[in-house]
Amino acid sequence: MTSERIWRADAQQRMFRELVEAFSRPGAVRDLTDWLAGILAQRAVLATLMDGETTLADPHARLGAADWSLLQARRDATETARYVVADGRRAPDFQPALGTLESPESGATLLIEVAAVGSGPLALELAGPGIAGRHELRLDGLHPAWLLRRADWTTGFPLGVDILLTDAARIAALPRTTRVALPGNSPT
Amino acid sequence: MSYVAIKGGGHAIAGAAAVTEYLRTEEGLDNAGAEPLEIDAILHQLRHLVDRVVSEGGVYHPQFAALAVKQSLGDTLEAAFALRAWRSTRPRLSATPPLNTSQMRLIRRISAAFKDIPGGQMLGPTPDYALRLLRLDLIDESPDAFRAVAREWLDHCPEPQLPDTYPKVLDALRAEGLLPPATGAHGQAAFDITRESLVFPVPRSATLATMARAETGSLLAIAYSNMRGYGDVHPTVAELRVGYVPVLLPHPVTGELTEAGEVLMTECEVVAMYNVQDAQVPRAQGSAGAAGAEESVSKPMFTIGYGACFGHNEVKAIAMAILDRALQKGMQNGPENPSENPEFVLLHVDGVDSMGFASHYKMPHYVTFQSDLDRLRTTQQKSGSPA
Amino acid sequence: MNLERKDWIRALTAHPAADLHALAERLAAGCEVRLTRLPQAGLGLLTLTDGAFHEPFYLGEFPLSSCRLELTLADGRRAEGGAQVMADDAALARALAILDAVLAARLPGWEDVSGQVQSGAAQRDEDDRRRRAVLAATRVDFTLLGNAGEGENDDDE
Repeated sequence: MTSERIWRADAQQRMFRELVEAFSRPGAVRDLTDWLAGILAQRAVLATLMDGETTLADPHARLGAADWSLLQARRDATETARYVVADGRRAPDFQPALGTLESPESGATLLIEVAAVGSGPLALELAGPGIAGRHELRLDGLHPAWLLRRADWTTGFPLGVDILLTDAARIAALPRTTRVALPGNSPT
Repeated sequence: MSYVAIKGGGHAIAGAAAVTEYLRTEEGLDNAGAEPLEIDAILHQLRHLVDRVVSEGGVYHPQFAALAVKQSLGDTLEAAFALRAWRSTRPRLSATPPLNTSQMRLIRRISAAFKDIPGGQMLGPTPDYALRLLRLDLIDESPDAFRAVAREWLDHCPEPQLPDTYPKVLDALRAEGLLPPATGAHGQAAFDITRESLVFPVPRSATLATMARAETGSLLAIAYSNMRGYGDVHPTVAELRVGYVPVLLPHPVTGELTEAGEVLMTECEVVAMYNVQDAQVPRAQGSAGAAGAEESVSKPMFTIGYGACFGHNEVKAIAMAILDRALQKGMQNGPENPSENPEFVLLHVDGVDSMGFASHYKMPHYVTFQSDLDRLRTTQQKSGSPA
Repeated sequence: MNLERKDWIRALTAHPAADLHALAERLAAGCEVRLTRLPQAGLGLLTLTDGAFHEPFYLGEFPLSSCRLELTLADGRRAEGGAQVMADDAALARALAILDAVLAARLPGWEDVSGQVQSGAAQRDEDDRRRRAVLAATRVDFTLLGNAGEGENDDDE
């Protein structure tokens, strides 16, 4: 019996609430360790967000056939998919959908897994809507190319991509409205 | 002048809901025999009300349609609204492959064009030939007699010797070269009005889908304008059929088309008299002098229209077929009447849209109205003071 | 009467959902049930070919529940089953998928499922018969008018 609770409605509602909170407060780390009980955070997020009408790209082949069947998402090219699931340790080698001026919401949401969210050597300084002043987000295992590409992708606001960073059990969001800088450089 | 929030609204709104519920159940006051309306009773005895709500709600769920009728105290606009609201909470799982009605389990099939249509004509349940006299005996119907009627009918009905499927009348006309060719799918996916908004010009699949869930009265009124004179056709009903269409979806394991259930639906094809303008190929237009050679390209043919909807709603299906034909003409030659204008027809026939707009005028407009008042008083002062 | 797999859902759904649940639970009691596609309730879109020009369009939506799963018996035998049913009831889709698997692979208890399919099909046949009776009772016999010596075209415009 497939009894993982991430497939149950109550668990998915809880997860959805976590995502709403995360995207409302960019860079705020939400620790779901107790609740996930060993299930990878990225998988729980996918279970919550995917259905038969969503399109998903998996350029780093992170999902097995069984997961695709359960998620029911339609497999799509990285360039057009509404969601892209990626391994943050690898440099991004694709151009995600940024949306159109008529329909900026069709810009992709990138679900990027890293080694650690909320701790680690990489310190990002964040500013923008949902952040009072400045906020520091520490990460481990994010290939530096992601930040450069993200800067490109989000220059044409309202076009852009929204990013959800996950490690085993923690999540933090970088919506396209958030300005990111490495320490020493002010967020622009 | 500023907007003033009042504090009594919440209580009044809760009170309004309670009063509506009081009216629904008032029959039970000092009446031990009062019974709540059973969903099954609505499904059977008020079946055309349910037909109307599944059709206008756009989702074939007769039980919930009956429930919506019950909770809205029989208001079809409100009931269709409730059903639409319910459907908006449900995920889309899949779409059937294009089905046709050749496998329909018929309960009615008629043609006004030919007496002897292949397979024959069967009136089924219809009030068409009934005298519109009130049946006063139903005022105080005996439950025992009520329960006996259907059984008695079944016991005395003939053992049917009938085919399982019936050919379409239009196909015979087309085989004789009297109809324009079927254009088929032309590789395009059908337009999904539940996901995309109408931006004109819209494909015919959007027209058909919009009218299929349109409000019956709205559709009828615009079609009637076309029939009465703000249009040019006296259509003939080539075929009208009512019955249950098997809903086929691929089996999850074998992929073979499997019947998941069935929907009751009404379908109507109308044929309208050949019209010279209609038959002209577009490039022949505007070259009247030199048209001789080009006009022979197109053979005179009937024009046709198609109507279909969930449930048993014949007037709606006929109105839709007439409008489909009128809109084809409008798209081809430019609209000469409102009923031939896709934007006019399609944006004004949805029940939830139109009742919502009309109802919103009841909501407080104190600020905008205050602004209107200010402007009127100012204008009056300006125009009145010189005198 | 041996119904094909594509006709099982129509036959089985002639029975009350509670009966189908009870049978599926009983038959699945000794098996491992692995869901390969979660039981889900939602909507399907009905695509119809229009009768005038044969163009596909969407007539409207209908409640739809679906499920796909794999049964594994203690002795290692396996069977795949699936169901798509017009109902707003994910648990019903799951029960039907179990019955589908049991009957398709003739797992223990398949005779009971077969029995339900047979009796359900008989009920559906009776429904169809009643509908045909509606037609038979209201069939218009145009030939009678001519034979009765009246004008051939006097009944119509």
